[in-house]
Amino acid sequence: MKDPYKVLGVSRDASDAEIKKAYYELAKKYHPDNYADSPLSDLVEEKMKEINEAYDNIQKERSSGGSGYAYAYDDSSEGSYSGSGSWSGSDSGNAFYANIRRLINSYSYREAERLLMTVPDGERGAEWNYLYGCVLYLGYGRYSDALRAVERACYLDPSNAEYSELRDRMKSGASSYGRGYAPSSGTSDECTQTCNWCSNMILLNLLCNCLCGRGGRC
Amino acid sequence: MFGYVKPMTSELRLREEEFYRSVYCGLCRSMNSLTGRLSTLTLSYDMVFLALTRLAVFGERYDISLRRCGVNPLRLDRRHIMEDGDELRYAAGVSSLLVELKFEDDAKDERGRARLFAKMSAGIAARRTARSGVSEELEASLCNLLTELYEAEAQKPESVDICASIFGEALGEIFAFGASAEKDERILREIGRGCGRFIYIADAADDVSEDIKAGRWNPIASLWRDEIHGGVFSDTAKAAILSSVKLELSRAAGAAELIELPPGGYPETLEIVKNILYLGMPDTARRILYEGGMRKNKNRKIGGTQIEGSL
Repeated sequence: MKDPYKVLGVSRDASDAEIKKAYYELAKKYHPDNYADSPLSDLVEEKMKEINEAYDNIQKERSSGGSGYAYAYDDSSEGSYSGSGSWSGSDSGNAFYANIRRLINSYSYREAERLLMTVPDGERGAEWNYLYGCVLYLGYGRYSDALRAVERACYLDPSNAEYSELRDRMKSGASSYGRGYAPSSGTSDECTQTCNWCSNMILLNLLCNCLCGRGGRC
Repeated sequence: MFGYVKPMTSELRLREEEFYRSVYCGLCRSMNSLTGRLSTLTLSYDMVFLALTRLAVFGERYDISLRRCGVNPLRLDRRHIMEDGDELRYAAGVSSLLVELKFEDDAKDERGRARLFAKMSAGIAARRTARSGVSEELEASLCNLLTELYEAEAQKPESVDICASIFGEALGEIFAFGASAEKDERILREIGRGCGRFIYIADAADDVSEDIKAGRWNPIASLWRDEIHGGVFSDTAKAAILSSVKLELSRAAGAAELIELPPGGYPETLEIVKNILYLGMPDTARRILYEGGMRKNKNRKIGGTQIEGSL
């Protein structure tokens, strides 16, 4: 069991507000949504669990026997992000495409692609494009091509929420990437102390030079 | 194909910049002793990134000592250089291998004098690689993947992704090789993939004008041929390429966030890796798309601005 304070990256005497802030920042960074389609999603779930546990432990430790705390990010949400569930999607009423969805859910991308390719060019509608986009995205990591296919699906069927949701997720997929990187996140205490020392040395040097600048050596 | 993966030094802490330099010099020294003085000419930032990432994941710690540059006798000052170690040797070996494979590829494409040069260089590089102790298994799987890549390129597809993915897999293999813990292996592979795809796309974007002039196929040029005029991208093309690049980088960065530096490892390694992924590489992409490429020597503007296309 790891030290909860270390997991959240706070010191033992951090205030409750600081602990909460640290927790929210970490939860935002490692939120399953950011890793929805990543092959590392299970590792992130573990990390999220660790963070939640650490937060809980600190809460329990700090106020002995308080009332229950609401989880800010519920563990039960992990169900929706574990691979298979999210892609089964709505019932298309078409056995062929339902079968392809099953294949995608069970990671059989090549087979799904093969079947999709049997559909002649003129008959490739919105659902075809959406499922083809899924295969490209999840199976081969071909994001740009996948996005084009999914956008085509949205264009052919603008009212379909499933297609537009995927498109939006893909477009903002890197949502936490742009913000939140703070290069100088370290403490500056050390530096201040050094600066004091430095300034003392500079003064000493100045003094020495003023008093006997000729020798240069003492 | 080299030099796209480097840190934004203006945003590194001084001690991190010194550390980066010590790894850079340390790698050069390893290459000098492992694969010969000539090989140090092929030292690249990308291989430094490889070494740094693996050091961050495995937590290995090699001493850093003050020495004179052993390779260039004209450099008289002493500098911090990282001592030789497994990961530096690995990066040196991989570098030699990639150089060998590149020359072999050139030997196929070029004609006449250039072909002869490429063949000779391939031969020299091959002997050096054999000396460097790079695993034959890795060499074999890389050869296969690169063959797959050349075949895919020969098809001249109207897609950047197809070829970028293959190159990504190759780098994934390189990054993950030899990791014993499953978690480490997966994280390294994902970082390798993201970087591999980024490098491929960046290289293609950088080469667009020359390839068009020389009549060579370029995946971005063929995909975006309506949006490129005189080697300049239209805004639509820029935005689309940037967003696909951002997606690749976010995958690699997401994986890097999962790295837990083992006790005893240098914290600087992880900090520099994050700088490269969050700042250095997007800056490369921005320069290629908005400033006409890395090759041209543009005057760097000092002072923060809201730059268009900043990620």
